[in-house]
Amino acid sequence: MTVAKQVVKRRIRRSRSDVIFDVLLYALAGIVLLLALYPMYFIVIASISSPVEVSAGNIVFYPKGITLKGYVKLFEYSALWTGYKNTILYAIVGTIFNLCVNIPAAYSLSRKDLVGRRLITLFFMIPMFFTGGLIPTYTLIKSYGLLDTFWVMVLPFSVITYYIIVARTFFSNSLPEDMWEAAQIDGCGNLRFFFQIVLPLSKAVIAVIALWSAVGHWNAYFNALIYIRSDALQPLQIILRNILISNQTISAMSTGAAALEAKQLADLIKYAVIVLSSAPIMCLYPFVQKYFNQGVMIGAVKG
Amino acid sequence: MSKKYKILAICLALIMVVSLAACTSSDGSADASEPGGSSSVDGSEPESPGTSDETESFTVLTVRWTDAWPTDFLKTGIMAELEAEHNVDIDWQVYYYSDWAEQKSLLLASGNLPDAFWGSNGILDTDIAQNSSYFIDLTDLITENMPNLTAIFEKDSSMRAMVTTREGQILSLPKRLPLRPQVNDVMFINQTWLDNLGIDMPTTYLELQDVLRAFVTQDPNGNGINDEYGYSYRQSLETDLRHIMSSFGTQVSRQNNFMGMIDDEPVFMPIHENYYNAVQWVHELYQEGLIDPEGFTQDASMVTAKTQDPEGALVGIVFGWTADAQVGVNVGDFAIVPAIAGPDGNRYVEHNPEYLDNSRNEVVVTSSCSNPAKLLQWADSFYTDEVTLQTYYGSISDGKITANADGTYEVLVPSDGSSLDTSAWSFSFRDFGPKYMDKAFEDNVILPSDQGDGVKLAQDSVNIAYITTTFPVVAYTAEQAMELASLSTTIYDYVKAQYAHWVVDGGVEEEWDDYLAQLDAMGLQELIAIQIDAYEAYISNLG
Amino acid sequence: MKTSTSLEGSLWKRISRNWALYMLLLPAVVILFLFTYLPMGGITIAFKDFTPASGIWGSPWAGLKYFRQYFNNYQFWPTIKNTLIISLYSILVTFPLPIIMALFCNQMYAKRFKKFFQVSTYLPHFISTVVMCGIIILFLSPSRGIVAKLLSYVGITLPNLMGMPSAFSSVYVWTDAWQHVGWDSILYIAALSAVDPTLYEAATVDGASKWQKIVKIDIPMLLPTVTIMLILRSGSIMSVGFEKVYLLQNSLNLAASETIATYVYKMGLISNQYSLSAAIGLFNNVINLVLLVTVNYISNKLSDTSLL
Repeated sequence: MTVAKQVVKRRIRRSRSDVIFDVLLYALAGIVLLLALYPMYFIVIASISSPVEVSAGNIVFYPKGITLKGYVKLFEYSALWTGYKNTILYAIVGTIFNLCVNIPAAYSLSRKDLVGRRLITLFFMIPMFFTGGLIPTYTLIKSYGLLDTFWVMVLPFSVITYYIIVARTFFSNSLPEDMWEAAQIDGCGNLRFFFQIVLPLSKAVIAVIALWSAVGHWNAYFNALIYIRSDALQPLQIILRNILISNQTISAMSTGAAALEAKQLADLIKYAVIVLSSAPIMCLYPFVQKYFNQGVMIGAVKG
Repeated sequence: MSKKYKILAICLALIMVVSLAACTSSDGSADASEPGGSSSVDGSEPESPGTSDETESFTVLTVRWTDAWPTDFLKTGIMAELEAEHNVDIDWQVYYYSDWAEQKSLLLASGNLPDAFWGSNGILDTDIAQNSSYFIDLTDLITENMPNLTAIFEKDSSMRAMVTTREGQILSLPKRLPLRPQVNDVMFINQTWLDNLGIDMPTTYLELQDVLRAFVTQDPNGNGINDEYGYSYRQSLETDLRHIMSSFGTQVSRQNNFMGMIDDEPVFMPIHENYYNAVQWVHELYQEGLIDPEGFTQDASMVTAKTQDPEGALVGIVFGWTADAQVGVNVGDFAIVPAIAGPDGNRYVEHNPEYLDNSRNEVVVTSSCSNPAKLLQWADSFYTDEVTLQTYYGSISDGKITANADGTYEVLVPSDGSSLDTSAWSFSFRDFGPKYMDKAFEDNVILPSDQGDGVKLAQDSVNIAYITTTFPVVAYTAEQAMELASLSTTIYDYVKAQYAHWVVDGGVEEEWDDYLAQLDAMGLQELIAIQIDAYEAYISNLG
Repeated sequence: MKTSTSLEGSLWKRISRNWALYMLLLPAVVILFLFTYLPMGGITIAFKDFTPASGIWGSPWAGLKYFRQYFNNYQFWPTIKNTLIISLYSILVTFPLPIIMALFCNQMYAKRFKKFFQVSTYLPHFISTVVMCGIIILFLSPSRGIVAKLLSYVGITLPNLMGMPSAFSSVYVWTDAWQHVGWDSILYIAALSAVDPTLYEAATVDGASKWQKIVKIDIPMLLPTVTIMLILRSGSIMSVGFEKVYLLQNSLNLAASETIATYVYKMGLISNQYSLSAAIGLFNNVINLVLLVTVNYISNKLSDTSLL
């Protein structure tokens, strides 16, 4: 057989195995897709169905007993809009703050020539295992005068060792070692290197941390529960929680008509609450996704 | 090194410092004030009729079940009248139950206490015991400042016994709810199904079994499918002892401590013979398919779907105080059942006033209070009949109750279609806060007959002959409470799991002895000893 | 032009050369110190008879009393066992799946489908635990749930999984996977985006199949991230979340579903046991730390990847 024929034969064989691979991949993906989409789909149709039908298991593919009362009831809560506003603010400011605090620290820790690197990493890791607990932390935050302020939702818990470690791993593995050497030869200092070279190349990890941080702030409720008392500062999750859990609590705690009405309300809005609380943040991902595209690093070292 | 970036780095650090400083300075005053921003219903400046320099301000903390019920009533109606009468201004701090547990620890730890806590769902026995330096002994203050309550103590020694601690102090004020039925949870049966099948209401436990069998096999709702359940509920040992097993003599206290009274002796029900017999019977019901096989795993919404199905309930029997709380719109199909007789021929029905109607810790006064005498004088006003009525349903001056010239009072049904129950919760403290109404006065109150309390009272006559006393609400010493906490979690987990296992799988006969031995190994005898000790202290306090 | 190679020079020289790096660290260090290190005195609550009235400093010392109380507790071993079973099972299932998903997602060339797929798989992550548990209980109901209905078409009767202790950890873990695998894969997708596409082109020219590309290029690329994540995960082995277990728990599955967290919660309901829960928490954290250090050490020896 001539060389040319052999080459052609090889190429055809390989592309066939690739085709099989692709078919399997998309088939599997299809199944996974259905499994992943169904719960959210169920929640959306359940949120406009009668609660009795939902709990009887009659809702499978389409809503029954269509009622928008759940949403109407939720929108009647004027506090809901305050909650949205507050949470959006917390998420934006909090994410920017988180990035400013954690990313630079992660970069520093990724540099092997940082004296005391191990010690500092240890410093960050110890609070992951040993904490003073809620009462001393509360007392301290109170003494700083941060109770019931906007900043208590952004500042005290903004250092997240988990983010630092993840980002540090990215920096260590994605940035070629000789890049810093090359930059130094060109007269570049640490800070300029960080801001002008490292950050633009690390869009992927910044996007991930930003996404985690935004979602974290969006879902936050425990800190608000403890540190915030005024209605004007309450985030969305607290407001929704008040509506949902309080109504569930009454029905657990007492009997009688009041409990019954509370239970019905809770069942009605349970699913609508999910839709309202997650719809906005879910729209965030498509914007972030473009940073995960291939080839962010092209030309980095070459240029 | 470029200057630009040096500056940038320093700026970053500066931002940190500045934001910290900004927060501290602007909210320096937050340190002094208490966490009472949100739902603190502060009235306008203390408006007192003339004697303005004597108005005293008190902070009182109260816990509500939900924020769906408004709190305006705290400053209107009878509450406003009493404030004016005593020349006090109450600054209410309102918390909500779902968040209260965490916030309570912080409040107690921070030491910024209100002058008083109001409502027994706020501060509990254990909180008082662990933080005794925070709460003051009220014994002498009551005698000096509270004539109404003192009179009540003379008439009704159980009120006094209820608030007396094991150390002989009185650390809180009691309540007794008015207009409460004697009979608590009873059985209701699907009368429509009985009529459709032409069978009578059961009078014994064996007849009940036959009726349930008929329900499940003979298609009483006539739709051609056997979709009926005999009994479907969110089952657990605590409720079943008072409900389905009741005819065997297994009534226990609502405190979920599994203590009951048999022949005037306190017993731990899950080791008693009555329970042994009852479990076997419930297992039989399960095997025959008369109770929902998902009874232990379904959640409350799934039960509701079956009982409140708009086309007719899918269950034969329900238990509760009133049927509408369980079956909602299907209430017309259900009828109350006189207690059925058990194997010993006796009938038993739940009667738990000490837990359901009475309680202590309705008002506790803290060491931060500068003028407890005045506070208690104000609190004393709540122990009169007319005020109790209004802190239970809503104020007369707010239009919730009409006071008639002949001395009777009519409680009005709300005009917006919501239930009287919800209205009562929205416009009064309802179950919480100091209250006491003379039994004689209760005859002067006219309640709507078609809902809530009126229905409960009307139902009383059906089962009142069968009420038995149950284990009272006792008090523990601090050490006993701690020991109880760790013993009981383990023991209760075990008995509940065993119960579920025996109902579904059977085997109580073979496993009974090992079960008893296991419980002893878990410390059951110590637990029972603590309960009996507390019980005896309670009895001796009754005098 | 002075070129200073990073590692030479005296100690002071090395520190002052990189002063900017310390500036970058400063905000994080300061905040951590102010808010997490200062309150650490609260750890002593585990060693004292703490009551809020006396405060941390005023409460008397109790030594190891509460630790001993915990070790002698009847539920000590059962709750640890249940917690560990759920935790280890969880790692076995929910650790590899996001990685696998990221690897396959990376090989999808149909851009629109890939985007749609990614967004769809992370949707369940946003469902709150409370609602999720309600859905699980409903879907698994033998009489009313969709799973039972689907299985009945192929002739299988679904047993009451929620009532079987042996099924509890499986229900917990697989529903966790269902809910979170999509979201958890985001990190790995981001890591894979750093792969130089010329590597793929070169591989294709060399005749590599897609499968070979995954094994030879993608997996080595992900390995450092995966290792670090695994080390971190091993440091939370005793910390099985409270909420989901509590909501899925019932009398029938209690033998398998009573974890450390739910047990502590139930005790706290009866009477607030500050010192005891602090002791239990500290004990768990120490175990977590020991495990983390061990796994980190092993990883260091095997692959030179370490947290420190």
